[in-house]
Amino acid sequence: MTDDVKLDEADVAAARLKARKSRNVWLAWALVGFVVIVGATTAIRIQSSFADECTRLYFTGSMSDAAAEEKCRQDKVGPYRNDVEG
Amino acid sequence: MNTIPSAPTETPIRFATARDYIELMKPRIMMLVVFTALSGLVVAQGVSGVTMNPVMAAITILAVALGSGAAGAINMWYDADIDAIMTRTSVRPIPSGAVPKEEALALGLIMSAASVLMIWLASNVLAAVLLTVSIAYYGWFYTMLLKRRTSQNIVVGGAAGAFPPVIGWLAVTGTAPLDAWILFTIIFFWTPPHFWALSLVAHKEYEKAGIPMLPVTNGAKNTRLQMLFYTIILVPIVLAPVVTGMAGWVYGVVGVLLNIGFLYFAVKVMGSKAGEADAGDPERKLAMSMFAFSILYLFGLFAALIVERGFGLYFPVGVI
Repeated sequence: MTDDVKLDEADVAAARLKARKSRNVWLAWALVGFVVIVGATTAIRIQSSFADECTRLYFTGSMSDAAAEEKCRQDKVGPYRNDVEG
Repeated sequence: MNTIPSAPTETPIRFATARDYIELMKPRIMMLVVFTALSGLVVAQGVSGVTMNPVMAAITILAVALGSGAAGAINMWYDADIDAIMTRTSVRPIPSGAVPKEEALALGLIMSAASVLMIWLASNVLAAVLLTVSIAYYGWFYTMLLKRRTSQNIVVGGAAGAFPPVIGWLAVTGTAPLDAWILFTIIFFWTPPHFWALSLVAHKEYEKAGIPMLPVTNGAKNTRLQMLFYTIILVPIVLAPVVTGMAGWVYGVVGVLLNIGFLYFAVKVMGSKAGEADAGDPERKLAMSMFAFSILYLFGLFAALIVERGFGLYFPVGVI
């Protein structure tokens, strides 16, 4: 009888470990997925801000480009639109 | 599910698997939420002419799905006590002992944060704010405040499930015009007859758990009358997209046919004894048929919108 109980306890421990491992694998994949998603959105946003000087969200190396700023002011778009009269 | 007998005569011990955590997220509700959010996203692009990067659109939909799952997990955490009382819900992960309550809450909170962050990154801050509001609306306002207090819980709480198309629309354009709110209103007025059809069958369970669902507080007859009332109100609201030009002939024809079907069920249920103490199997089956049809109804309407605006089948009716 004692042996039976010991065997059951061992089975329970093994099953618990198996379930925990399975959950950990799923959790790892979820974290990897989240990192990929954040990376992908960041890459797409940076790419699109390079494509459009006036609506850029990230520093693109051309903030001091007075000609580009003036063009955006004239077009009344982008981060400079608050500066535009009216 | 891993099960193992703890001792020859005892109840088997259950260890949670990934499937249990998916169950916590209420996947069936999630499907409807995702579908309606996708519809809002597609229709917004068709109406406004603004296009969204497909990867960003996919992440936005994923975020809405996660947000829905998060709210579902929070709901299951809070409702674990009443879920254990009702037969239908007693097999859920928490009352069955597979998932500890605290883990469900942690999952809900972490997924809420992740989903809001994801939608913010993929679209804009307004969509993120509305997703936050919808999670809080379902997880806190409906679950913790309304559900156990008022027989109008389903009516007011229905707004939680109505936000997804507006979120989809906001993600594309950054605005929520009248058309987006028409989609919201369709789901809002659809929810009471949809859910009360189920509660006519399960009213004894709700009574046992002390949940003031309409059939428990106001009786079956009043519930059937209110179901008919909401179904009649739904008819012009469902046809409103045709009037504003958001939808065309395809949606119009589908909408009229589905409205006829839904009205047919509402009238038939009204004239039946569904939910009464002496109701038999035919009445129960009738109520369940209306519940099943209501799901088809909403899927049909939003599928018609997606087909029209996503596949170039929009032919305006020209009402205005």
